[in-house]
Amino acid sequence: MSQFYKTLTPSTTLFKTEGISTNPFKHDLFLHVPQIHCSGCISTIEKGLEKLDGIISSRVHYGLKRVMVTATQEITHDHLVLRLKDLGFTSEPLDMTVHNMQRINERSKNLLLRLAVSGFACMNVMLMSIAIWSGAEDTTRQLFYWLSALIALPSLAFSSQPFFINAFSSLKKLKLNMDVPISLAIFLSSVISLYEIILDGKHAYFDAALTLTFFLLCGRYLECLTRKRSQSAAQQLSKMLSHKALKYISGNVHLVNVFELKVGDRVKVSSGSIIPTDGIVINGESETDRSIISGENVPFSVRSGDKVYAGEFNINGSLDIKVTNSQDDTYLQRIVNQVSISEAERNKYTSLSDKAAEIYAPGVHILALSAFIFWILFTLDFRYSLNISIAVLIITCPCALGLAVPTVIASTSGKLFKKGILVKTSTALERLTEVDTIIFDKTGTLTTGKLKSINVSEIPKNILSLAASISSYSLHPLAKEITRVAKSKGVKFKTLDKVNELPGKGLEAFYEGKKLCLGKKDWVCPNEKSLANNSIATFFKIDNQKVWEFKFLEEIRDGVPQMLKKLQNLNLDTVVLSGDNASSTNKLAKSIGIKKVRGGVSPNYKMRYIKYLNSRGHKVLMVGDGLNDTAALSRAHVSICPSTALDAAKASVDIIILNGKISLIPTLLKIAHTSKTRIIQNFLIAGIYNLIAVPIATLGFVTPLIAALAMSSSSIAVSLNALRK
Amino acid sequence: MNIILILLPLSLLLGAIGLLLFYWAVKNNQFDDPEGNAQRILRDDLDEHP
Repeated sequence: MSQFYKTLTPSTTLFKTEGISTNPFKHDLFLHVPQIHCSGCISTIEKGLEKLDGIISSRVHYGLKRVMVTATQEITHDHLVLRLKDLGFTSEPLDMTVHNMQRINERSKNLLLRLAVSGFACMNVMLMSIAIWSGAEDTTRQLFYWLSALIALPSLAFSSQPFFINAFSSLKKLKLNMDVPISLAIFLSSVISLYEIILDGKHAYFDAALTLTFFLLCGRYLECLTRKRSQSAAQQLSKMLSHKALKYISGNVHLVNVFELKVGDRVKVSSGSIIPTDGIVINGESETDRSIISGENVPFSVRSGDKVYAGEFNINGSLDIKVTNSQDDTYLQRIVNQVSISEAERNKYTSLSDKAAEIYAPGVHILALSAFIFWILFTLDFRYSLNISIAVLIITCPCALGLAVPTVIASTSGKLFKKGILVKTSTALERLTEVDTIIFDKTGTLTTGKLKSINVSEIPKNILSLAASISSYSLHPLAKEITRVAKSKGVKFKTLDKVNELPGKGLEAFYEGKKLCLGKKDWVCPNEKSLANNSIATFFKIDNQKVWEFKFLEEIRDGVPQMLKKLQNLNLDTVVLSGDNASSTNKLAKSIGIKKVRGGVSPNYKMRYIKYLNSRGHKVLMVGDGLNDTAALSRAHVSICPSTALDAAKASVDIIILNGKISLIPTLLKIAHTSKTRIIQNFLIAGIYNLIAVPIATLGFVTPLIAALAMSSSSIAVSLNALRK
Repeated sequence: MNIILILLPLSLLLGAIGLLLFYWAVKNNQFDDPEGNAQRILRDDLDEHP
């Protein structure tokens, strides 16, 4: 455990990963290979890896898109990553010691085993119990009871371990949780039943104890299954960064690891690569994609003296950079650290089931104890009184309570998954019902992040064909959009001469002796005053003829305006906060109907705003997608992101919406409210059942038959209620 | 009805064997990757290994 926490500190988030080994000659290495998609991939990877010297075996886990390799000690992750690259797959090493996936797998396997054993035992013992309840006498009854004991005692010892372990750890902290009465009931009933059958008694509660264990384990297993895989945000972040950099050492460029870079080093970043660490440009001019940090997807011009950040994508010019922060001290890394802190705080939320347990556990004990005392005073018969109090303990059925919440969460998560909504944390739905304010990010959340060209139909085909031909030479988002829209119109692309991309200005080329220019207004036609400059646009000119303006608008996701209306009808406050400039943000907010808007906002501001709202007692739902939202997402009461979001954002949210259907948020809220109602209904069912059952038990009318029946019927009632449409 | 003296333990024994086999299967990761195992059948280059 301490090893786990150690690896979360900043300086060790880098991939100095090691394999796992219990054998001095070989070790296991894990890699994440997201491109696995068919049976052919499985063959290619396994066969391709096994051909390598030193690899003992390899196995692809198709569901998790992972590869596990057993190899001799000298093989490292780097060898495997290179080999997979040759086979056509990009991959990254997985450090399994940090990965808590392994532990979740182990836990669910253990639960499954215990479930199987208790299921087997409970069915068999029930078989025999039915014979006994139907009136088996004397030796038959004795035989069956002894066989039941033979099956029940070992099975109980094995399967109810999770409850006992949990109960002990809670008692050590001097607190009562749900597992304490459960463990007490199981333990006492086994002991009493054994005692009874030795004395040739008529009542033994093995079947009830086993059925109790079985149902409760079902609930636990369901909970374990709905606990979605969570990867640490730090892991996800490393995927976005480059691991190697080109460092200048005495005038020559050498390939080094990024974590070796120190402040003051000079690094070369060529076009098309990611900036390795925070720094200042000392040479070169280019445009970078800063969307990871600022959320803005219109490229940012950089030149000598400008600051650049780790994770920025260098689009079109080579840059020489002087390092100002080492990799564990970058802006990105600091945000990740904030995220870890917020996540730790959020785990302190007390869910409904915790609140129920707080009342239930002491209540049950008091009831059982008072029944015991009452009967002892009344009859002075120790055995009889003990029997009654055990009956009370068993019948207060922690099963219904133990099943109340997991069944609802499991069935709701399944329903939501069919709609394309992935619920990651089990308390997410409860927290959603408490929300009163929703904060949206703009780029990538309300918009698709793509820029759509809106006036292409006004441009004559021959002009469009030339403009598209020149734009096809650039990676700039606006150029790519022109190319795309021209292709979709079936326009012919012409070959051009002397194509040149000038970073920060545009593209120029020659066609049939004429000069073509595509780019910023200030460069293409600086003297034209008639063209307005308030929307995103790029300008095209042939020689000195007319200037054509290509206008662009951000593409808003489907159904967003209607969704916002619905949310406002539900009396929820809606706000847009964006890192993009204020004018585009204001315009967008107006077009979809949000009044509270703030543009040009830093990630820190978003987080502070949420903190401010929290302090005023508001419960905030944050919907965002980029790194600039990650800190805010972890600080909000609940958070959602689209599946197109950054992996680090996906790691820190509660709910992920697939297929970009952000407009499903009102439906999600409705379903969250329904599930909360169901949970409360389940608690009511359990409560009413207890109100009826406890007096019956205290008066001594509960035989093992009635106990088993009562328990099963209440559990089934609760589960059925959870599963209904 | 004395046959029940044999039947009961025998059926319990058989059930227990089934349980042990299930236990072995879970420990041996047989249930780990259902989609992957489904895909593996479709491979063209099958050898004797599972």
